[in-house]
Amino acid sequence: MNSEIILQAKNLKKYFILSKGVIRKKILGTVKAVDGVNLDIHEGETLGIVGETGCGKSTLGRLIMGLETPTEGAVLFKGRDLWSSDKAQWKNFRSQVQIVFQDPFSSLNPRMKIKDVIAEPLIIHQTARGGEMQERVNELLNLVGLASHHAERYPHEFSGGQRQRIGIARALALNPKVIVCDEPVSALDVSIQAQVLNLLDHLQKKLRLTYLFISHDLSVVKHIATRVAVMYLGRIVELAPSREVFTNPQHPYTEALLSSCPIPDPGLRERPRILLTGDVPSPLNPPTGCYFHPRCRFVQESCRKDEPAWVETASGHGALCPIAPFSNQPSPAAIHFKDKIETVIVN
Amino acid sequence: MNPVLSVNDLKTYFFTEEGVVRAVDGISYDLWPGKTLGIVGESGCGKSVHALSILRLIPDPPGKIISGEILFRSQGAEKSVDLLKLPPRQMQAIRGNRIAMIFQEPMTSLNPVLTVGEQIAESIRHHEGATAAAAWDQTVKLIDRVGIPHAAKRVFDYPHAFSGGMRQRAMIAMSLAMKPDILIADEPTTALDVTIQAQILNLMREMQNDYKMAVILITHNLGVVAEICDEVIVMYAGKPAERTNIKQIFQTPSHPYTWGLLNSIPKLNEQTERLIPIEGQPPNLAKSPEGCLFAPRCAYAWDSCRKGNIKLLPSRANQTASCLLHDPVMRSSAPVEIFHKAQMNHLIEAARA
Repeated sequence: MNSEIILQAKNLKKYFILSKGVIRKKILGTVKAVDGVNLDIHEGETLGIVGETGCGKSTLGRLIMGLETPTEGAVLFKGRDLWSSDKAQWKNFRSQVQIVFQDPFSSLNPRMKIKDVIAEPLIIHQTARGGEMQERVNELLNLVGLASHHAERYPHEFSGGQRQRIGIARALALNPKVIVCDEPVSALDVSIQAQVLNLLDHLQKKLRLTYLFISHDLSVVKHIATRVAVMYLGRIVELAPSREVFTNPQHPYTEALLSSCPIPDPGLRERPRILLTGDVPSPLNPPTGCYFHPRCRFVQESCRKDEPAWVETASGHGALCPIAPFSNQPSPAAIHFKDKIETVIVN
Repeated sequence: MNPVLSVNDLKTYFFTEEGVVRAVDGISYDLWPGKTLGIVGESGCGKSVHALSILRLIPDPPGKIISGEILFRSQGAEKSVDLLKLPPRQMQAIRGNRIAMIFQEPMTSLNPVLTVGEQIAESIRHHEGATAAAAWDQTVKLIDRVGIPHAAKRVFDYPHAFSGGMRQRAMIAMSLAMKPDILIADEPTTALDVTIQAQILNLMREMQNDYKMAVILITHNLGVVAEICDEVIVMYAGKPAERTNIKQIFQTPSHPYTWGLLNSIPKLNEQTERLIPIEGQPPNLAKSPEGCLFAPRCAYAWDSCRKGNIKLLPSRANQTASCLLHDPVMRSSAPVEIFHKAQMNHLIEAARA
C-alpha cells in the first residue's frame, strides 16, 4: 500500500485482571482481551474489524483511541508513541482521532441541546467561539444531512438514525483525520442503516477521512471496508484486502464465519458450509497453542502446543495459521461474488 | 390438508393517551403444517404484536384485539376453533402446549431462580400431568436432543451458567416439550453471534423435520428469512405490504417497500458501489396518514396513493402486494415516468403492464 501509515499498533496487549472481594482481594484470573495485535492503518483507508462478541474488537478500538492504557506494546500516531506524548501532543491526538459509538441513545447527553453537544469539542479545544461557533455547528449539521433548525432540539426528539448523524457531526467537529466507528449501524433498522452507511462513505470521500470500522456484521464490513481484519479471542487471525477475505478466506475461523453469515438469496441456501460446533472458549481460560484449535477442521498435533505463526503473501494477505493457508485448494466456504447485471433506476 | 392456523383480518390496537396506535391493522394468512412462514419488517411494524395476539398475550388495557378471527386446527382435530373466542382456561391449555413460543432474549425469558431442568419439567407436568420422575426423564432427553452436552448434569444448572446460544437451545427444548403444532419464534437469533445463529437455525430446521410442526418466524433479518422460510409476509406500519413464497420475494419483489428493503442491505455476495436507502422515517402509528402508509417514503407514489384504503392485490402468480401499481384501474392514473420506472425495476410484470 502506497499511502502513509497514520496509526500503528505494535504487539498491543490489554489484560484485564478479574478479582473478587474488596479488602482481601483474590485474583481469579486474567482476561486477555487484546493479545498481541500488530496493525497498520493507512491514511484514507477503511480498515474493518470483524469478530464475535468478546473477541476484543471494541477494546482494540479503545486502545487505538488512547482510551485504555495498554498492558504491553505501543500505539503510534504518525510514528510517535502515544503513551510517551506530552500534554500538547495528547491534545493534538485527541482532536485528530475521534469515535462514533454504537448506541445513539446512550451516547448523547439527554439534557444537552444538539448545538451544545456538537459545540462541546469546539469549546474544549478552543477552536471557535461566538458566532463563528454557531456557524460551524450549522455547517456540521448540514454536512450530516440535518437542518440548522435541529440545533435547538434535545436528543429525545430525534430518531435513532438522526441521533447517529448527530454523533457523527460531533466526531467531525474538530476536523479529525481518523474516526473509529464502533458498531455505528448495528442499533439501526435496515432501511436506516443504508442511510448512515452512505453518509459515512460520502464524508470519507469529501473530507478524506480514515476509518477504523468495528462491526460484527460481515455484510456491512464487506460493503464499507477496503481491508478487513478478523479477530478471534483477542488476536487477529486474518488480515487482507476486503474482497480477498470474502472470496479467498485462508484462516479456518474466517471460513466458518463466512459460512454462518446468512445471505439474502434463497438460491444459496444449500451452499457448501463449514459450521462450528460449541461456543467460543472463555477468554479467561483460553486453549493452549492456537486458540482456535479445539474447533478447527485442520487441527494437527503441533497446533495444540505451539503458538501459531503469522503467514503472509506478497499481496498483503496474512493469516495466523501455519497449516491451512495458501495451499492450492480454495476454501469451500468462499463467497462467489455476483457482479450486478441489471442496473436499477433510482430517480 | 387443512391449514393449522388461519388468521383473518386480525386487528390489534393500543389505546394510548397519544391516540389509537394501530399496531396490527388487518393481517390474514394461512399457515400449513410443516411449513415456515416468515414475518419480516422493521421495529414497530407490528410483527411481534401480531404474534402475541395469536397467543392472546396482549396486555389489556391498553391493547385490544378489536377484530378478526384466529382459526386453529390441531393435528387430527375434527374442527378448527377460533382462539379469540375461547374461554381463558381452554386458551391456557393451548398456549405453550399446542402453540409454543420462543423469544429474542433467552436470558429474560428463563426464570433465573429455577434450574433449567425444573423449568422444563414444570411445563411437562403442567400440560401432561406426568409424574415428577417421568417429567424429569423427558427433560433430560430433550436437553440432550437440542445438543447441549452432558445433559444429565446440565439440567441442574441455573440459566446464568448457560451461554446465550445454550439458553436459546434450552428455550427450544422447553417449547418442544409438548410437541406443539405451531412454534412461534420471535427474533430467535437476533441476540446471538453469527456462528451461534447458524447453529440455532440448523437446530430449528432439524426440529421442524422431526416434529412436523409449523413455524412462524418473526425477524428483521432478510438473510435469516432466506435461510429457512417457505412463505413470507413483509409488514410495514402494521399492515401487510407483500405476501408470497420465498423465491419470489427475493427475485421479483412487487411492493416498493420490499424492493427498497432488498436494495438497502449490503449483501455478502455482491459488490455494490452505493446502497439505495429508503429515505425518511417510518410513520408514527398514532397519527398515521390516510392512504398508503408507505407513500411519504415511496419513490413511486402519486396522488391516488394518499387516499383510501389499499388492500393486497395480486401482482404475479402466487404473489400479492398492497400497492396501487397492481390495481388495474387505479394505475391508469399514475404518471408515465412512475409507471415506466416501476416497469424498469420489475415491480410490475411485463405481461400485465
